[in-house]
Amino acid sequence: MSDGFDLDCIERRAYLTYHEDGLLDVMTGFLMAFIGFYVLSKVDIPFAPFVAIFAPAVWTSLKKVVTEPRIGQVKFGPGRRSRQQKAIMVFAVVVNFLMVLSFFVDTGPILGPWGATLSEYGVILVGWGVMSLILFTIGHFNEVSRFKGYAAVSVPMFVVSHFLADPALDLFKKLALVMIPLGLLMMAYGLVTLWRFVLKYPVLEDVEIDA
Amino acid sequence: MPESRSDDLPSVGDINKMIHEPARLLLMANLYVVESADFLFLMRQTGMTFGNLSSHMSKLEAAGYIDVEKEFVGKKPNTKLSLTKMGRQAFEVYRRNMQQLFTEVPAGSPRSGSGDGGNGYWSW
Repeated sequence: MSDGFDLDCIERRAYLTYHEDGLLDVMTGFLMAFIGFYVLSKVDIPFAPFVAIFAPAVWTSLKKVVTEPRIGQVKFGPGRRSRQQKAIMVFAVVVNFLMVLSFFVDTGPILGPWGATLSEYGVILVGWGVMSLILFTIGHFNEVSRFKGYAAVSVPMFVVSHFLADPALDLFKKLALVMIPLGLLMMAYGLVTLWRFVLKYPVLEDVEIDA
Repeated sequence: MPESRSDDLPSVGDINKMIHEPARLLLMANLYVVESADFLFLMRQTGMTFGNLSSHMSKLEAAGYIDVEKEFVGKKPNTKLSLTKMGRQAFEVYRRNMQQLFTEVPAGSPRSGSGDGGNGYWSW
């Protein structure tokens, strides 16, 4: 039995146990890799609404099937929910910024000299300013430090992509070349974390948990 | 010589013994930091066995400190626990009393000043 009585520590431990399953890594990694493959492919289906509708549903279902039978259910207090809302807000702002940017990149000349800079250094600017920021935000507000690690790993990847990618490729294709390996890396780490979680918390028989 | 302690300082006898028992204290602390949690989650977080947790849960429920809600999630029974208003207040009073007891150690004590002997055990 644990003998620590630091309330913040108890709350944090409860919260982190809930994210010990690696599903956040698997889902985020899958979305990043999926978006990357989509950008590089010639498929012209507007998938964003489907992702927006199905991603939360898939997330909830996975939590119910994988996590809750092993560690149970918990409803966190308003402080924790407020942190999650902040994360969602930052995420929404960043995604909207990316959408506005894609509009301006498509319309080219409107940006003037900024357009040339963006075209030249877009992978680094957008990569660091958007993709790394998203990962850092998820890590910071969810207190899942490995996401800060992913953000740190993404920085050199964007730099390498900037120098190695075919200059003829447009900005989003260059970004996709980083998003795919980064997404796959996150999925792989998430699956390893999930495997550890499953071994650490086996499903208990009903009789053992029905009080 | 009559007792010299401050009137604000609770005596050890004022400490709520229902909460003070280590397993129940851990259970109350875990419920205090969330809105609600089910039986399995509390078993995992506290490391208590089914019987131990069940026994302490019954005592806290009888004292009116926790609310126990039994329901079915799909076909499986699920026991959800949460602190009642009374339980939350009792825990806060207990917490305050313990803080006072450990921080208002008389001056001159070799361990005065830190309140917890530097180990963070009572870092509420």
